[in-house]
Formats: sequence, C-alpha cells, structure tokens
Amino acid sequence: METVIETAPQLRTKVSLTQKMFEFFGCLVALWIYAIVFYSIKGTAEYNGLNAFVNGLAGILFADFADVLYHLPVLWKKDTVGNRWKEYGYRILHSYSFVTGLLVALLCTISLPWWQVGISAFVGTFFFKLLFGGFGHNIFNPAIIGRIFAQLVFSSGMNAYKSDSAFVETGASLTASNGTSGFQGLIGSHFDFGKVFLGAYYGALGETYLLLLLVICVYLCVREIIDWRVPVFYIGSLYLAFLLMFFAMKDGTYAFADAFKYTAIGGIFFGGILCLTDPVTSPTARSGRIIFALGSAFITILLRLFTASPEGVAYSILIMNFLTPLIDKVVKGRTRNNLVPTIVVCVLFLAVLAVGLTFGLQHTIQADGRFAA
Amino acid sequence: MAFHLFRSYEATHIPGHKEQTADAPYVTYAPEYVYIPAFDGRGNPLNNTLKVGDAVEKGSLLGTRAPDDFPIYSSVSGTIEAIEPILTAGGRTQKVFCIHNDKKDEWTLAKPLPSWEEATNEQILAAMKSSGVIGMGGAGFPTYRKYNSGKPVDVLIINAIECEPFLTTDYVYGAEMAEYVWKALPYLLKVTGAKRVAFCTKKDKPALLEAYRVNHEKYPDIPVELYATADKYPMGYERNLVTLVTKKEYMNIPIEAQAIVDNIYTFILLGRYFTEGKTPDLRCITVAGEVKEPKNVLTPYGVAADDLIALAGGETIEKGKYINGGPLNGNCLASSHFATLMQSNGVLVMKANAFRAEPCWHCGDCCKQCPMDLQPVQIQMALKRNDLERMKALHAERCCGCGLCSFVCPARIDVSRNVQEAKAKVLMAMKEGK
Ligand code: SF4
Ligand code: SF4
Repeated sequence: METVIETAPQLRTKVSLTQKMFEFFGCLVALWIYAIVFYSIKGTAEYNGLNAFVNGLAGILFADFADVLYHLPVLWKKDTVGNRWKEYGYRILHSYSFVTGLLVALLCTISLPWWQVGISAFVGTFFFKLLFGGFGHNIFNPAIIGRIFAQLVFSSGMNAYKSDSAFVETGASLTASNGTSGFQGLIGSHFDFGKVFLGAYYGALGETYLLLLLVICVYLCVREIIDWRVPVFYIGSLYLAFLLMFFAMKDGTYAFADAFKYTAIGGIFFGGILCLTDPVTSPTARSGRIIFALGSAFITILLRLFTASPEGVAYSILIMNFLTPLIDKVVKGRTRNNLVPTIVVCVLFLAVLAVGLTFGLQHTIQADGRFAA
Repeated sequence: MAFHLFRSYEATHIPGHKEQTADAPYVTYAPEYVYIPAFDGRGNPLNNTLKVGDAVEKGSLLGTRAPDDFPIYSSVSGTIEAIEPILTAGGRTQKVFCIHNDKKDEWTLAKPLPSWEEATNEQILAAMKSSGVIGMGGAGFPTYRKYNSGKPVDVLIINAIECEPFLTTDYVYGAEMAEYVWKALPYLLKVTGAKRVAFCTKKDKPALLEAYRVNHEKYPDIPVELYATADKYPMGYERNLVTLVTKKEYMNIPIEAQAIVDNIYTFILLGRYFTEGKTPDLRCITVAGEVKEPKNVLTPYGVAADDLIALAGGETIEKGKYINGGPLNGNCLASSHFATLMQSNGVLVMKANAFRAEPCWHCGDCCKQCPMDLQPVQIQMALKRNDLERMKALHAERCCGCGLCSFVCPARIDVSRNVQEAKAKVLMAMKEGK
C-alpha cells in the first residue's frame, strides 16, 4: 500500500464548507423558484415570472464574472501549482460568489432591469469581497453592499413598479422601497395574514414569502449552517419592541397582530435569516452573535421609526458587520466566563424595547394605519 | 447535553465504527518477534540493559529508565537476537530489543504483595513502581508517579469509556479481566487514602456495565460508583471525567482536583501484579479500518504492526495511511513495519483525507466543540497577527490538544495545530515574564 502521512486528527468530519454553501444556495434557489411562480401568476405584463428568472440569473452570472476576472492571473502566474485551468475553475467555484449574486437579486425589486441587478452584484462581489482578499476575508456582507448600491445608483429602477397601475390597485405597494411613509399605513385591514404568510404582495424579489422563509430558517438552523441565535434574537427583540409600541399607542388586542405584520414586512425576516447570519461577517462566539443580533435590531428600529428609511435592515447589517471585530474583543477569554457579554446583551435588549416604547408613547395610530405625533 | 445559550462547549456524537470489532471475540496471537524500545520516552538509552544473545522469560528485566530506575520487562520468553533501530509507534526510529519468541510462555514471577491489610504503604508504592505499569490510555507515563505525589486524593477514576472510534479493546478484553480492578483497588485506596472510586463507562457498553455489576456484588465493601455517560465524544477525556465526577476543574493535572484518573487496563495490570506477581505482557489491540477482517488481537506488547495487519487479512486499499492508536488521537506512521508500544491500543488502516484547506469562514464550529471552552478561531487569528496579548486574553495556554477543533472545521484547517503553536508562544512568554 502506498503510504500517506497526515496531521492529527486522522478522522475529520464529513461536513465540508462546500456542502454547507451549496445547501445555503439551495435554500436561495427555493426562494427564487417561489418568486418566479408568484410573478408568473400574479405579475403584470411588464413584471412577470421571466423577469424574476432573468434577474436571478443575471445576479449569479455577473457575480461569478467578477471572479472570472479577478482570478485571471492564476492562468499565467508562475507559482500556480498543477493544472492551470483546473486551478482557475477551483478558485472561481470556491469563492462562492454565485450565492452573493443570487442574494443580491433576491434583495432587489422586480422592476430593476437585469443588467442593473448584474452590475450591483458585480460591484458587491468585486469591490467588497474579492478586493478584500476573497471569500472569508471580507468585512462587509457583499450582498448587502450590492443591494444598497442598487438603491443609491438605480433608485428609479428600484421604485419603477410603484407607478405601474396594476400594482397600485392591489393597494399594497410597499416594503423595500416604501421610502417616504416609512412602512406606515401598511397595517390596515386590507393587509391580511394570508397575504403576509404567502408573500402575496410586492416587495423585493425574495423577501416577502414569510412561510417559506420560516421553513428555510428551521432547515438552516437544524443543519447548523446558521446559528439560530441570530434570527431568534433579531426578529424576536424587534417583535417585542413593536408590540410595546403598539400597546403604548393604545392599539388594544390588535397590537399582537399589528406588531407581527409590522415585523413581517420590510425584509426583517429575510435579513435576519439570510443576511445577518453570514458567518464570515459575524462574530464567532455564541454570546457575540447574540450581541450582534441585538445591536442590529437596535439600529434597525431606530432607522425604521425615526428616519423613515426603507433601508433600515440593510444599513443595520452593514454597521454591525463593521463592529464585528469589536464584539469579538468583548467576548474575550473562555466562553464560560459570560459576565461582560451578559451585561451587554441585557443592555442592548432593553435599549431595543425602549426605542419601541418611546416611539409608541409619542405617537398615536390613525384609522388608515398611519402614525401621528 | 444541557442547553447553553452562551457557553460553547457541547460534546457530540461521532460515528464510532465500533461494529467492526465490538461483537467478535478476540483472537490470541504469538508473533515470531517482538520489538521493545531500548530507549525511554524522551529518547535517552536505558540503563543496565541485557545483551544480544541473552535468554529472557516473560517478566525478565530488560533494562531500567534513567532518572528513577523504572523497569522495562520482556513480554515473551526467548532470546534477544539483536539490538537495532526500527520505527516505533511514537514515530521515532529507535534502537529496540528484537526478541525471538520461543512461544514457551515461561515466567519470571515477582513476589506478590501480602493482603492489603498487611501490606504497608511503602510496599505498595514500591510494587507499583517495580510492576513497570505505565498509563494505558496512551501517554505512557509511569503510573506510580501519580500516586506518590503526597497530595490529598479524594477519588480514583477508572476510565472505561474508550470513546475513540474503532477501538474496542477495553470493551472486549477489559470487561473480561475487570475482576483484577477490584483486586487492585483495596491497595490503591489504602495508599492514597481516597474515599471513593468512580467507574466510568458508556451507557451503550453492556459488557462493561455487566462487569461492573458482577464485581460490585462480589466485593460490596469497595466503594465503587458507576458513572454511565452518553455516547458522546470526548467523554473519555481526563478533564471531562474529572469534571463529571468531582464537579471541579483543574489547570494541569487531575490531582489538583483531588482525583487520579487511569485507564481500566492500567488498573487490571496493577491488580495482576499485586496478586500474582505478573508484569505486563499481553495487550489487546484493535486492528481495524480498511483491512479485510478487522479484529481484536491479544498479543504480547511490542508486536510489529505489519504482523497484525497480515493477521487481519491485509489492507483493502491501494493508497492510505497507517495509524497507531485511535483515529482522533493516533498518529500516522511512514510504514506499516513499526513496533507497537505497551500502551498501543489500536492499529488502523485508513483512507487518506487529502483535503484542500479553504479560508476560515468564521463559522465558529470550532468554538462549539472545544472541551476547554476556548475560541480556537480567535486564537488562530491572533496568532496570524502575532498578537501575544490577545492570545493570552483568549487563554491559549489552556488548550489540551484534543484536536476536536480540527475535526469539526468544515474548511479543513488544521486549527488545533495553530492553537498549539499559540499555546507554546504564550507559555514561553509566561516563563520569560517570571
Ligand atoms: S485542540 Fe485545543 S483549542 Fe482545539 S478543541 Fe481541543 S482544547 Fe480546544
Ligand atoms: S471551524 Fe474552521 S472555518 Fe469554522 S471558525 Fe473554526 S477555523 Fe474557521
């Protein structure tokens, strides 16, 4: 027998990073397929299932095109070992940019033309992932960068569907791009639970299908691809804060339902389950992840309630990405010594609730669902 | 395992692959030659050695280790044919006694101890040393040294967990010989002053549970408690057992928590020496993995691994690795012709992993597994920046080298090696600081 020598331990787990990435990608594809079906049935002539399909494909291809460019030197650099083309292919595949690309497409609205989706995906991947050193070295979530880029540069495309009469008639043109009103007026009676769960309203391509998102969340947590602490603490604390807010607005028993709807729209679930959980840009310790999720919740609720910005979730994720090394510092030492993390978690949790409560005390809710001071 | 919101450590189930050898009876095997190192663990030559051509019996003194005259005995009867270097299980090529086995099994017996009531503490300690018994869990540290530290001892822990995948020697042979444990215990309780004994095994090992029941009924005066743990890894870690039994943590060695931990087979060998005067000779070794007929072999220690693999029908793969010990703590050898040691409990043939490492994606899986509650990924990052303060803040010096972080890492990074490098740096800095 030909003998090989390897470092201990000789036995390694079967689960590889590639497998985890493909499982995650599979979940995104499920959302994508749902979107294609949804827009095929409910879409308009201008924004239909084909658009959803092409947008997703453009995201994937443009993001991978960034890798194709970036890794070109492998083909002639002297220190490349083995077959050059094989190595080139390996680097492109193992940069996992297709995940980023599809995420960008799912984060954008259907009215964004495919080439704009593609450029956003390319910018996020090339400038904020590859130039930072490639997969595993990026500080910011490249998909969120792509999303924000699209909002800033292609805002007319992002918002175009709102002027389409077919969409306006449904009475619920909302979420991601509902700039000026800041998600208010969305909790009236026209907006029922069935719609919320099945995602039968128009928002970003992949963010509205709550039921499917919840199934994906459970799957990813059980397979330990994402840490359940992040979505649970992020979404949970936001829900509790909104609940307090509606109670303070004397919304009565409707508070539970309204708070739920208010949480369900605007990408909180999508962001909390699929973007905030990206391991590369989040802390590694469990306590650190809880701090991370609560910090993000705090920024989200501030932006949503006080600045009427539709990008609350995305900006909060970026800011927390930036703070990740700091959180890692706070959770120093051994993971059984939890005094500092516990204090930070409690403070942040109370802060999130306090924001909701303060806003609720200062405003009342009107019949059309809008808030008045 | 308990639910932890913050704390990372969780033991996990690792596929045991024990079915290969767990249910079959062991076979006995008498090799033509055995190879016993003429060096101690640190590479210094033995003193007072026998010469080429000398006749030996089982239990003949071959030589003594340098600092404390710790004896090394022959495991077969026959003649020393050569003293020459071969590869030993530790990975070093060392001079060994090549002893030709005449298969007559003749013994040079030592004088057994009187009954435990009559034996004095000095007698017992002297017997532990002259027994030549070393830790059978893998470290190969002379056992008597744990007992003459002079520190107070509260509990003796018998480690019969055997949580390494593939290995089943304690399960098939340890259970059969378990009565010797109970024969050794009165002496050991007397010499240490310990008040209780913990017998630790896994819930899914009926043979060992049964051995405990039978012997506990037979010797009701000896205070042995049963601790049956779940089939998780690494339950058999000394640290985990000490924490399980004493609810205490320690920094370096278990005696700090007033506990002494030894493998069940160590106790068996001691019991055998105390009552019958027989020095260690036989060792049950699991031969498994990619071999035709995996089996447990009861054989004199010092047998060459290729003999065992041939006995198991040979390898079934073209390219792979030879491992001494279990797949998690064992080491790879450059050839199958290596001498097993007294503490070797397995010889495995495995396929190569041939992984290509990817960048760390900060998944934190390594933190989740670390039995010392460290954050291997953070230590690794600090090591890359050469940030000594941060390595200290992360307690890199506490790593026990279990290798679990490397085991779980989906990116196939040798995390544990990096952590141990950081540990070495921190320890060095601590020494210089003093
Ligand atoms: S090798 Fe060290 S750092 Fe890694 S899991 Fe074991 S104790 Fe923790
Ligand atoms: S398990 Fe591997 S990839 Fe994950 S954080 Fe640890 S070192 Fe990084």
